[in-house]
Amino acid sequence: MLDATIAKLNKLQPIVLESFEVWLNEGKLPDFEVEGYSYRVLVKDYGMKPVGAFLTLDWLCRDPQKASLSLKKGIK
Amino acid sequence: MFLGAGNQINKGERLTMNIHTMGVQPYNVFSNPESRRQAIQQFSVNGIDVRSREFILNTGHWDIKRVPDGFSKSLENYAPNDIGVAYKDLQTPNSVIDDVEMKKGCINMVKDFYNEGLDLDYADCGLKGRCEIVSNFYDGVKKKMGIDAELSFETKPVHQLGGYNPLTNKIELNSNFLEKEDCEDLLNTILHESRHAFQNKCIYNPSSVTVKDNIIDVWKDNFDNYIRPDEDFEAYENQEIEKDANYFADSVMKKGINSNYA
Repeated sequence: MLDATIAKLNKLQPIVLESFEVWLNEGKLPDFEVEGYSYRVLVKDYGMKPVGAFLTLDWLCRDPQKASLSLKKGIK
Repeated sequence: MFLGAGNQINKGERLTMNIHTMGVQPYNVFSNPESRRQAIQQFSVNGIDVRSREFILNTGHWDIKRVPDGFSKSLENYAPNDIGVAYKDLQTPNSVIDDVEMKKGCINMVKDFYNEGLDLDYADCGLKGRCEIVSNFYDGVKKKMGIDAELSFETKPVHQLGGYNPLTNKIELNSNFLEKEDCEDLLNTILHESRHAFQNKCIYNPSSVTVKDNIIDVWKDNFDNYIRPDEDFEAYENQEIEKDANYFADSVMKKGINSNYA
């Protein structure tokens, strides 16, 4: 799981990677949205952990239709 | 249950064991490697060699109860009905759950729910009435699936609809559901989480279901290496047990609501 997460973090889309590095180095939370979803919403409303939220923003960049549909259905 | 070499534990009879493993509960005493080893040893102490018949080390075969607190009393002082491992007759042919028939039964339950106007009743009544309607629906699902997970409503983030915990065998639903008049998503979530409880039942009592062994193996591997949605939502969505539970709940709801489905 840890290896897979690191591999994914190494391949983050540019916009997500940039904000991830800022968060990592300065602790500043990202304020952009992808397909209407922000870091804050993913953490607060979906209960995601910080890294999980970044990975989900990355998924939204790579496969917006599938990721949006999954998020719209909610977490079960 | 015949245990070889002339040994037998009849239904209702009890066998006392001392299992000392941190974190082990009655329902996972045979799945934890250390407590399983201790159980095999203690069967052996009682003259029962189960090493060649490990299929009997399945919690579905037994009614396992924890010794009450205050464990210091000697074995002679135990009431025979307050502790131990008792054979439970779950292996009769009638108790085998056919996966296909179970799904049809769930579809019919959803059909009945809407035909009887329970969705409208749900919308019209208060929290107590909604809880009763949900509870009755889940009781039906439990019976159809042959599961015994407890259901409760908990405070959760708004888009975390529910969850099933295989360690506690509990289904938790987001209490926000009860605020909404439309109960379709709630029924879908109950079916989804119940399917997880069914998957878990398949793993621990494979002879009680018609699901193929290779599918159960995949589910077991997935439960053992489960990826949580808060850690990697994409990977979570792509897990076999999630895909199966999504497909099961979505198709049951779709066919149950669609009046054209025979």
